[in-house]
Amino acid sequence: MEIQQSKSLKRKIFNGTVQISIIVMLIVGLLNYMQISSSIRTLYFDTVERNAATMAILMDSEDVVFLRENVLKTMAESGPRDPENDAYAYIQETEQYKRVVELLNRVCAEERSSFMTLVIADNENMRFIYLADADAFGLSSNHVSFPGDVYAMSEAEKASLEENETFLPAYFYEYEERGHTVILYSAGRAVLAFDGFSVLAYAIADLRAENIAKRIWPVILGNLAIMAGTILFLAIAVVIMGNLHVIEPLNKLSKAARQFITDRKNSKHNEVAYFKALGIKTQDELEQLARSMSTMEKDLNNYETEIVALTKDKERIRTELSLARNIQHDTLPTTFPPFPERKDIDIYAIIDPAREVGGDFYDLFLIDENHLALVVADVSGKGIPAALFMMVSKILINTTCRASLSPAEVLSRVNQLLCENNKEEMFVTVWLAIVDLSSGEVRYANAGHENPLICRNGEWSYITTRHGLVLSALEGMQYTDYTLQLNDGDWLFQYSDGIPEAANVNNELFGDERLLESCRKAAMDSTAGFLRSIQNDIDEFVGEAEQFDDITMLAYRFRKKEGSDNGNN
Amino acid sequence: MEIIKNREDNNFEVAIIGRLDTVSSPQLQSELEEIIPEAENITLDLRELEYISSAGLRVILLLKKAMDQKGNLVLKNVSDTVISILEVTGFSTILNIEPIQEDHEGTEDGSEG
Repeated sequence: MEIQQSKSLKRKIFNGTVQISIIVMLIVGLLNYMQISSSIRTLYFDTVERNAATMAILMDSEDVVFLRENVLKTMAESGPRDPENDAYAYIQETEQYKRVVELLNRVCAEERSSFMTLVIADNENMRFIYLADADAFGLSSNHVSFPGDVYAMSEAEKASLEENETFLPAYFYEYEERGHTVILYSAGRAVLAFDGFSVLAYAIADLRAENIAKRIWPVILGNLAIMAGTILFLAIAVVIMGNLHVIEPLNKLSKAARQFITDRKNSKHNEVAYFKALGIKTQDELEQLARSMSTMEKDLNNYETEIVALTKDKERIRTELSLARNIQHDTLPTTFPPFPERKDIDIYAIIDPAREVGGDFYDLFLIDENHLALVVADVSGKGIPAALFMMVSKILINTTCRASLSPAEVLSRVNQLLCENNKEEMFVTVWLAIVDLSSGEVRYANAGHENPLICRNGEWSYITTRHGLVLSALEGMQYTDYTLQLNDGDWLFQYSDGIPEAANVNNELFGDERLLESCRKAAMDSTAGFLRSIQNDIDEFVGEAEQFDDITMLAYRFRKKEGSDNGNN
Repeated sequence: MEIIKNREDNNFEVAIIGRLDTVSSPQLQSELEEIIPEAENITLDLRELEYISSAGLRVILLLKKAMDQKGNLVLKNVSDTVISILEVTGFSTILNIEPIQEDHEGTEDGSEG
């Protein structure tokens, strides 16, 4: 992949250079051609005009007058020359004619002109009449003309002569000769009489030229070839320099980047500084790029380290939370019945924390053979802090109960203990009841917890006695014991504020009234079934809404001990 | 939740409007911490307090502890809802509470039930 890419970059530079060069070459070549051909043409025009002028000057005007008069006379007598019956033949025998042809021939040879002729203009009849003709190289001997021959005058020539009768300006035309295109340049100058004004005849010079293009192109192509060579050399040089100064460093960077990524993927990451190690010191954009890559590498490494640490932390916290949840759950008595050998103790409890760990707790334990302690409590706040505080509270209450059968006294002591080291100002609501299992007398105290419900003779109602302050709020708080009497089959039901404050999607609260209704219609076959029925009612009410608070409930049914009828009645 | 503070000399009156729960309690706490150093008496006007959670009770507990050492704290215009929360949690036993003055009609009648 690397090789292909670098090749393509090199090729792009090379191709680009060559393409631009070809276009430049074509333009230069065309301009070259136009310039050269134009200057050659000027040269030809110049030459042919000078030849004509030279010829006109060299002409002996007496000889010209002689030829002119004789040709005009014969023309008037017998018209243009007829090769079969040449009325002008006598002129060719004259010395004058021979001198003129001789001169024409000499000038032709000297000037390398192709043709030299002497003509007179017959403007009226739109024609030129030959006086003499020379063909220096005999190339077109079939075109040799003789005195009395005529050829047509063009409108342009006529107009030119009418404007200025002393010369015929140079022009060129092409014609086919033995399958070749030949260009003929032509110009004429007047041969003047002695008076220097009257025109006797015109000396016409014709210059044969090969097609100019034919002669120019080899030159231009040669030039172009030299240019092409130079450009090729330059293109290769550009590629080599580019390779050295751009592509090589780029390849290095690219390779380092790939190595960096591969090592990272294979977690083979080590402390090598991939980009710094390249030592790219080009003092240009490439060095800038290398430096940026190096910075990026450093940032990435730092970032990765951070992420790894964060992920580890998160993982650890999750594990610890899960452990904490188990530990917290294990501290609660969750095996029912809790005292299988005691058929008189009919009790059940449910806890449903809103998060992994919660602040609610319940407890039930036998202080002695005859006394059962029931605890339902709720720590302010949620999560780990609440869970820690809950653990402390639960243990303190449990322990303190062993030393006193008065819930008020237990709560006062626990409050004192909790207040001693409570900088976070957390507090806990506690309902503590101690049941005399033989008599059914219940002593209880309430430190800021919900009002419990009691079911007497199948009738549910709230127990509303004055509440003490939540535990751990203020030092030195004293709590009050209240007592109530349970008869066989009477129920106690205590819960946490997660129940009355359970909210549905419309933000309506479950509330005390609904809870009372729920108790009234619940089947009372077993404490477990009773609590599940309450739980169903709450779940139904809450619906899709999120559970915000822990939900805890505890139901206790008093069963008179067999054979201990000597209690209260 | 919205908090409106008024000051007369070193007596402050702070009206708490809305819900005082886990989300809004820190705001109340920081606002109270600003005025406690200068305050002799603080009155909380709870006429428009709709609900107070345990986090809100904690802030009031902190305020009470601070004011016990230097002045008085009174909660006035406390609605029945809030009073019942304060009673259940036992805060009514340690706070100086003035119930809301009902507008003529429900003054004495309903409260007994």
